[in-house]
Amino acid sequence: MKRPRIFANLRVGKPDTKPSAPSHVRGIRGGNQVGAADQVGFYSTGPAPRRGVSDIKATAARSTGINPRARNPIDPRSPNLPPA
Amino acid sequence: MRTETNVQRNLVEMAWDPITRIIGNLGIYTKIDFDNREVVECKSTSSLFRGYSVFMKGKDPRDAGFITSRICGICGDNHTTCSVYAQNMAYGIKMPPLAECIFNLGEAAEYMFDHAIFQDNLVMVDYCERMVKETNPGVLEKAEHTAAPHADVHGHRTIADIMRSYNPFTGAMYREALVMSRLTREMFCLMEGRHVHPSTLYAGGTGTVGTPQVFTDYLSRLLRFLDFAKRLVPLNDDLLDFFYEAMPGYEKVGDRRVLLGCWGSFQNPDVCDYSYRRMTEWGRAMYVTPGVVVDGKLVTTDLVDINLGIRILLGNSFYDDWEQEETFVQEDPLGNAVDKRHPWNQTTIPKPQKRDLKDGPYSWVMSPRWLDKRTGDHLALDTGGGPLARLWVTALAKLVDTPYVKSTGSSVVMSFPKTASFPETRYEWKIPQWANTIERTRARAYFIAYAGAMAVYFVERAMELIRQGDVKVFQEFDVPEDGIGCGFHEAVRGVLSHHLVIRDGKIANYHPYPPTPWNASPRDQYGTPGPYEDAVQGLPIFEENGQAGFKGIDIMRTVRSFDPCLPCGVHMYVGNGKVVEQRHSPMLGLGALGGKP
Amino acid sequence: MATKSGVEEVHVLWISEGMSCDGDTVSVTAAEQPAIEDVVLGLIPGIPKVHLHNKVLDYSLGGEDYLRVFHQAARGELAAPFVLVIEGSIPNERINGEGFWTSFGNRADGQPKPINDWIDELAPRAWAVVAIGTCATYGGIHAMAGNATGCMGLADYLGWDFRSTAGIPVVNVPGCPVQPDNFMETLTWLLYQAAGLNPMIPLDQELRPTWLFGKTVHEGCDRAGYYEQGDFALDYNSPKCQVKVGCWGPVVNCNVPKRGWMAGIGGCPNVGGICIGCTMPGFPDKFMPFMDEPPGAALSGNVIRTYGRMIRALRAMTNDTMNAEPRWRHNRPELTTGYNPRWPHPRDEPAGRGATVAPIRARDRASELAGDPKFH
Repeated sequence: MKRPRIFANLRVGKPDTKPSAPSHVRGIRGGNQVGAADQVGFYSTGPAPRRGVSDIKATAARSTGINPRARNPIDPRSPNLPPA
Repeated sequence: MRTETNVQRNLVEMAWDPITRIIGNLGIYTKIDFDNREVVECKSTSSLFRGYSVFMKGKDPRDAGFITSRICGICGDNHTTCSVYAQNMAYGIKMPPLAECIFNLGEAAEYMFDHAIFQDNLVMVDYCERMVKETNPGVLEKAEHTAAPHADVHGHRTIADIMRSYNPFTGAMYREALVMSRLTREMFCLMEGRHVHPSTLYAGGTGTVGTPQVFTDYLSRLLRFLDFAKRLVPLNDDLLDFFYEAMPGYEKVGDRRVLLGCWGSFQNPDVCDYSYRRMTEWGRAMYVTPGVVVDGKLVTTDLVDINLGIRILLGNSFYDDWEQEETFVQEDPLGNAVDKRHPWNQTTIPKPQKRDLKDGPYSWVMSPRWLDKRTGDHLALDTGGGPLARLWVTALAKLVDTPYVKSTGSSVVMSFPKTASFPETRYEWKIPQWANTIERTRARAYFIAYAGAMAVYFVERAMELIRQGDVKVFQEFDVPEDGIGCGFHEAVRGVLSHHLVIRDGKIANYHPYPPTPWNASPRDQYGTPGPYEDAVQGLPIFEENGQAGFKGIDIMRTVRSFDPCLPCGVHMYVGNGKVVEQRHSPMLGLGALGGKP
Repeated sequence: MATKSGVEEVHVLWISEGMSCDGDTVSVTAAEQPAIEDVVLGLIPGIPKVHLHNKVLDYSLGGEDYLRVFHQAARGELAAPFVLVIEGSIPNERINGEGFWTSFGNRADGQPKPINDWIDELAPRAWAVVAIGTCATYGGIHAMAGNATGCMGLADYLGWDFRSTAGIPVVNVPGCPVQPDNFMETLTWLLYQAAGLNPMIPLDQELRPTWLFGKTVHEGCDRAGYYEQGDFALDYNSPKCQVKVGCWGPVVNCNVPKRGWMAGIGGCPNVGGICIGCTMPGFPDKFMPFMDEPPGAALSGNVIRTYGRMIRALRAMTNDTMNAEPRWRHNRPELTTGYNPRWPHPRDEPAGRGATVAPIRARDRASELAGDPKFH
């Protein structure tokens, strides 16, 4: 076993890990990944949304996998608001 | 004995249909003698038919608890519970002790919720400052100058302050009661899943998972509620006593012969096995004693007697008779004969037709009666709105003896642990002189306390089981090909029974009898009026308004004192009073109006 | 802050005299999001002033006093628009001769006035029509096979293509009873819409608000994880997934297990009550007998058993690992956390990722278990 070293009064032994161990590894899926907004239940309204509004809207499929089309609003004037 | 005197009476027809601040469709049709300030005739009608007994035929008996809950939107769980009791008997099973605790805790929460919301948000509006100002300004004036005897406990200086606190939506008690009705419903949901139609009750037990958490969640809410209940009881006493004091003779309002029925509540898991043969014994072990009180005397506490005495009479209701139909149960498991007019043998045949308030059928409610073996009378028992009968029977029977609730033979003593604003507290309900409007209303406040005190006991019982690792909450069973069962329980507003007959594994007959048919029933074939009718007929009028601005407050207080819940079985209609007839009317002696021909 | 298109006052005419148990009215008094008194007292910013007319909560003693506003509305004499709320199934009054099944007040001739007559008079004048609870929405329990009244839901009676004066179909808020906050939220949407602040309420093809009924019970159930692992309750003692003992959650549209019943407490399968499909148009018949395994669950349940067993084994291993603390948390007289006050650290670089990340590697699991007294 390696002899403990002293760093500014701290007694440091053989490390069990390293500080960067919990960081990202390339190739593993990340929740922030670009392109993920294309998932089922979301669509882009196109490039020119009004100021102060994003370009992403949802469909019923955002929230259910069972008959999502039948869960969309029947009136085109209604916003599409599936449940949380 | 009756006396008849011919007097000239000017009768004014007055009706209230629908009646507000109750559950369901109730109409009250009266004839009032304004000169002598008296209600001379009253008919109560229900204008709703749904036909549970009709469409349950042929269904799976295990579904009965889910279906019958939908009979009532305020005490549906009482139906589910009663159905589970009846099914347990038919399936020959006993529920695990923890399941019994969970049922009792759920039902205790229901009593606390329902009585509190009905009393403080629906009934007390009749006693609130805004209402009293409109109907009895003189009484309000007096209330302004009358100090509340228990002001130190509830914080309202005068009686008028109490009345103001019940003004709808703006009064402090009104709003606090709404909040409390939610707290108690949360307690309910912890035990039975959902209010008002429970999701977790089954024949054989419950799906509620017994954990330390669920009982702690319940207990911490219960203690908050008890803090409220400790104020509620003296507050109700102060207000109601004031009505006696302010209006001498007010004890006659809604006064009726003492004919009270209570079918018992809160099973004792140590004794109850749901067998019909042992029903007398486990019925007497219930934590609200079943029984019948006639003229202040306890006639029976035996559920077998109670069961065999039930008779369903048609009288003035919209149904065809079933004398020619099949008899399902000739005798009970003890060999006693079962009458053709008993719910086990009833066949419901609806016959819609015009309403005839003169002398034909006028209601969708039938007339349940209880046969008094001693006299052969078909008694029109009432439930006193539930609490009055429960407390009266329990007090006389002297069978309930727990650390928190004790029956003394003439009263019921309730003890409460320390809560946030109050030390340990004891309240005692004593058998009153009258079965009238004020006493039915007062009993409700006391029964809220009763249910709260029993809930403390049931939490303790449940925790004892949990500490031993006993988590069984459901007993499996097979549905027999043929069988019968009956369940007895107290719905919030009084007696509840379910009678079940199984054939080929299916429901051959199912008849629930909730409290409201008992209370709201129309005249039966013997001409005996139902309890509302009886309590309103002969009612003296204390309202200060004359015929022109008449609101009928004394009548409404009386009807609401029974806690009408008409989906179980009734509307008041204030037409502009018009003189409908002037006639020489026989003025009859006590109790003879509409009596035997 | 109502816009020009909006109104300042709305009446809510709530008739619970359908074939109901009044359970939806009672249920709504449990709502807290928002509470009924908050709406009546005008405590929600932006909504119009609300005049609530509900039999259970009304101040009046009843009768004509109470009915006056209903008569005015029926004659088109109300100054402000009204929302008509109907509770209870609508009976068939064309089959019973001179009789009636359920009524509300009386007709001019003194006979009871059937609820159907009221609907015929009020619905065409209503700004919006709301069916509360499964009886009013789809017929519900009273429309069960074998019933004598021939009853149905409000849209069956008025027609599914019915539109109110504001162009809104019948708004269905099913549930037996209705989940308290589901109704109050729907009403609040409509009040904002009346104020001109909300667009057309989004309703699905069964006319339910999409944001409340757009997913299945199972998709929101906290017991669904057991299903995925092929691990089922075989009676009601078990806190696992209840599909084998009668739960219809996988195919029922409802948010209760996720939302709870009130204040997040209670619910159905999440607390041990099988889903009996009480929000659905097919309720109750298509879900009976309630306590038997739904036919579809037998198939899907068996398929998932094999997958579930494997997944459980893998998760058991990972779970063990995750239940062990990393080895540098000790009280030895030396620091082994990898501490180094400087970053990047030259010695660190070539080692690559994870070389010494002991705690999350399966091969270290055995030695850790052996060395840690917690596991003995």
